[in-house]
Amino acid sequence: MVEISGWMLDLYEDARDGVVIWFLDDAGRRRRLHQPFPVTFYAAGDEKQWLALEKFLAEQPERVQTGQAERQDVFSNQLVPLLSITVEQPAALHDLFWRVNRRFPNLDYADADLQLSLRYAAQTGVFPLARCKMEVDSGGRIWSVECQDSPWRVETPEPPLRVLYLEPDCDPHHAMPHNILARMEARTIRLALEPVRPLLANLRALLLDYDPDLLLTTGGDGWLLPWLLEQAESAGLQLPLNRDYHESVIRRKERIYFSYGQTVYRGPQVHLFGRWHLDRRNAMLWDEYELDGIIEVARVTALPVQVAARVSPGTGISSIQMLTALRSGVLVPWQKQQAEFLKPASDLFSADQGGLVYQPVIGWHRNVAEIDFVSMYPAIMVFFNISPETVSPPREGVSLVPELNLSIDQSRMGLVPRALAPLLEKRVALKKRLGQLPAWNPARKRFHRRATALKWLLVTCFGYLGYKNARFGRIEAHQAVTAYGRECLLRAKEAAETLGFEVLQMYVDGLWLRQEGLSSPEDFQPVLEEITRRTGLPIGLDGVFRWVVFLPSRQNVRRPVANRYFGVFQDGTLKMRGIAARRRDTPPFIVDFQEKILFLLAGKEDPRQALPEAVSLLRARLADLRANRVPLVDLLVGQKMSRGLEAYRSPSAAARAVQQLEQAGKIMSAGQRIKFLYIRGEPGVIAWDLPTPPQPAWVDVERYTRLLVRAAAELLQVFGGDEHSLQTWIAGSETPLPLPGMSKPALPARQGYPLGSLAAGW
Amino acid sequence: MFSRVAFCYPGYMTHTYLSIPSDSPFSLVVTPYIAGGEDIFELVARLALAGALQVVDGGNTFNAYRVAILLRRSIPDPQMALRRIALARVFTCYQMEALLVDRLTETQPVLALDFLSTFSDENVSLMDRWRLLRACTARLRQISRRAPVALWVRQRQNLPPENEKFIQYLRRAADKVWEFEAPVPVLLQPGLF
Amino acid sequence: MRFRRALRRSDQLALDDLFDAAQKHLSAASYAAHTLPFEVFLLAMLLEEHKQVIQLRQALEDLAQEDHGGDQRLDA
Repeated sequence: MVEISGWMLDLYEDARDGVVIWFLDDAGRRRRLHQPFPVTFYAAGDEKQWLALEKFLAEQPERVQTGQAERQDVFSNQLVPLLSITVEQPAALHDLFWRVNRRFPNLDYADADLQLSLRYAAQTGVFPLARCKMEVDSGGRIWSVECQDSPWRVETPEPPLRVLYLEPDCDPHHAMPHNILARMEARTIRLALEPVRPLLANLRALLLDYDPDLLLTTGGDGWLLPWLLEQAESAGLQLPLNRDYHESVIRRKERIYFSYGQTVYRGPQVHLFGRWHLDRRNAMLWDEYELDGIIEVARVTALPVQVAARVSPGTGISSIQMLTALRSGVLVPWQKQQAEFLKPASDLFSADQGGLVYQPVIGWHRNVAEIDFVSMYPAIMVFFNISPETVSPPREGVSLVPELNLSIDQSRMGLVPRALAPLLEKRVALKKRLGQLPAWNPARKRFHRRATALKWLLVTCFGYLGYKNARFGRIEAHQAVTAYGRECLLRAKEAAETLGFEVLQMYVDGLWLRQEGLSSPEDFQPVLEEITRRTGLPIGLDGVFRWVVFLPSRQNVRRPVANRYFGVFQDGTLKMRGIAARRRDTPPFIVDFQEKILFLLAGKEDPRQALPEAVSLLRARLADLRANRVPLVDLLVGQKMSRGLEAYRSPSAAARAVQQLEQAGKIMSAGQRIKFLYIRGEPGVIAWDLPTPPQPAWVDVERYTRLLVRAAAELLQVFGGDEHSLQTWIAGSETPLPLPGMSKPALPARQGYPLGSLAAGW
Repeated sequence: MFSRVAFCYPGYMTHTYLSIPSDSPFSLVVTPYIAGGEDIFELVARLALAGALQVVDGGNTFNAYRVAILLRRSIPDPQMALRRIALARVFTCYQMEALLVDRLTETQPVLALDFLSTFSDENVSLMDRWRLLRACTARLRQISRRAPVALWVRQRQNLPPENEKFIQYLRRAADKVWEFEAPVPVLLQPGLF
Repeated sequence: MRFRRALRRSDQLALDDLFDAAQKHLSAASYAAHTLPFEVFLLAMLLEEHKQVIQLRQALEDLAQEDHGGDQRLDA
């Protein structure tokens, strides 16, 4: 028997070995360990059926133990008598439960479909990538486990992971690649795809020699790994993608589903055993937080890394809640059955509102502070104890939610607040740590990515509360959160106005404030304190804008719309929302152009002085466009298909591109992003991934010109450069440009209106 | 006392008022998917004017603003009548069953809107859906012995065949069935906004 | 809306103006959670109209003062 310490990399069920654990010990060895790990689920309901169920279980091939138990039901807050069913091999649970449920559909089940990693974390404290100590015998069996880590630690030691990066030299959806680039540490190897045998032999040698912990690919789920596996099979060669030879690679098929009213496309997946496979294309939010973020998600949710990378933040939140339930002996119901309370239809008017949005004062403003509630909705859930089991129809002596006929029980802490509180605290701690690190410190990036991963989990936890299939969800809890959100925002507005500020915009959890003569961050400290005093929630200064422009709606210049603005903070950071550069369908050429214009505007003390330079830039870009100097990839429009092709009545540009792809034999599904170019003549578009590449001469220069001018006008109109003026200026270089300061802004910064005097007049 | 409440249903094609006699209190109204909503809200408003009512919404179709406007045609302040409507929405067929069995009282009329919507969720096994549908129907029949019950079912296109079987099942269970066929196909004018 | 349709083109534009102005208070209107939202919407239109009146009144007073001041200077 030896004692080893190191990192737990991965775990999964094995048909014979109970749970298999991959362990990276401090000597750098990767070890396959195993441990018997019986798992338990529960049946509740009609006790007369229990006897029959026990008889049925005795006839099943699996080794099962049954007993009587009592566990807590979160909704009734009572102990429920249960039949506990313990299965010796965790791998057998899924099939057994399926048969049980089929035979006894009228019983209620709990703890029946939990990820093994959650059960393991709840029982032993050990989660993916945790530092731990284990006692192991020579056969690799674990006899004892001691966790020396906590998912809530801010400073975490980094495990020395070996990463092999595989990337085809071009997008296989576009054209068949010729090579695979294999990168590890500082080395890059180019492997030709043809002939196949040497490729497979080389790859095999690489896998065995370098023995990576992580196979990081571009398109490995959708194309590369399935292709390699098929080639290996037809060549009769072994390709050790798995480190664990006992298991075979798992391939999940692609699927399309509806989530929050959106069509979501999830590509096929390839999961490995003994090492991880992550596909940058298929990893949730990879661009936002990369591997550091994925590891953070795995640590706090206790989901295996390969799963954590591919699931939505909603599943992550659900895992944290289940883990909290498991740890505190609360049942995790198999099917959620909590319907809404019956309530008078007159209550409906307040209940279903979202966050409060105050339309901005259109135009250009200087010295504006943006202040945001820190993770507002999660903070509300924790601060006001909002959880599915604490919310009830109005009850005598229990505090009411503002605007709503709902009570919240404050006598016990709810499951959701219990699950969220440490997450919220950790995010704040990470951000604080981030603030202490100097800008040059490379650790900043890691902290930032981890904080971003937590932000996504926190952002989702609110929506998840109202999700129909959430185990610990309830619509009323969701409604209570938005009601408190509106109340807090209104109190913040009142606090700001009392202190003499003008509120330029409010958006769900943020306020934009201005007061004559105030510009330094310290000037805004008192209002932050007053808001926290009135709401109980932490609020922070996001920054003071040197200037900010609130834009009107695209369709109607007189109509303000929320959250469409751009501006520059005092430290020079740009911020933009709702403009072309932020939309995912905008061609890179235009995104880059808008960013450059913003940069020009930000560079001047008075942004109007940048107008001549901005117009020259526009001219230069138009010249590039006309001379075909813009690479075609930079002109690509990328739109998401929201429904199947047949559902489009008059085919949009995206639908026409899809038609072309389908004619070329490429099947696209709803939810996938389509890339295409605008070209001259009919049908006006050409899909990007067609076998015959488009020619630069086909580009619809007129159309891109319009898009470019519109993108310029979006930013410049407030400074006097609306679409019409821009057209005139670029048409004749003779026309003198307006001198800075002389032109009247098309949309003058409007003076704040004395609403107070209005109210007094009523 | 509720046996005197008649369900009035204005057919959107015939514009004749249909009433459901109190001796056949379990009614089923089948309409095409796109039609029916307005008439159902009219029915809700009428019933709310007459007394307390329980509404179970399976497809998130209830439009309180619409009902308020309809009520305003008869009374100056719709609030009071709206308070007489006890409403709950359900989003899964498990919730539907839990609501009907545990929460509804047997002494007030029940109106179930878009009743089958949650039963076309393919994430729930067909066996479970049948089991829950039978349980729901049994419960509704039980309530209908003391207070009128009406189900509104919308016929969707492109649905798996079991859905038609669900409707068949309800047709057999109901005392009275109102079927409304799709109007003569007219070109649908696309919305302006 | 049938009312709008039956209006003269110039009146339609004026009506649209009223609606656009009221849009600013959409959020406050929905927060009010009134059973008949259109009534609140009418109030929002009235509010915007009244703001215009105050603004115009102010502008007029400023103008009058300017004239007055000018006269004084002439007198001097």
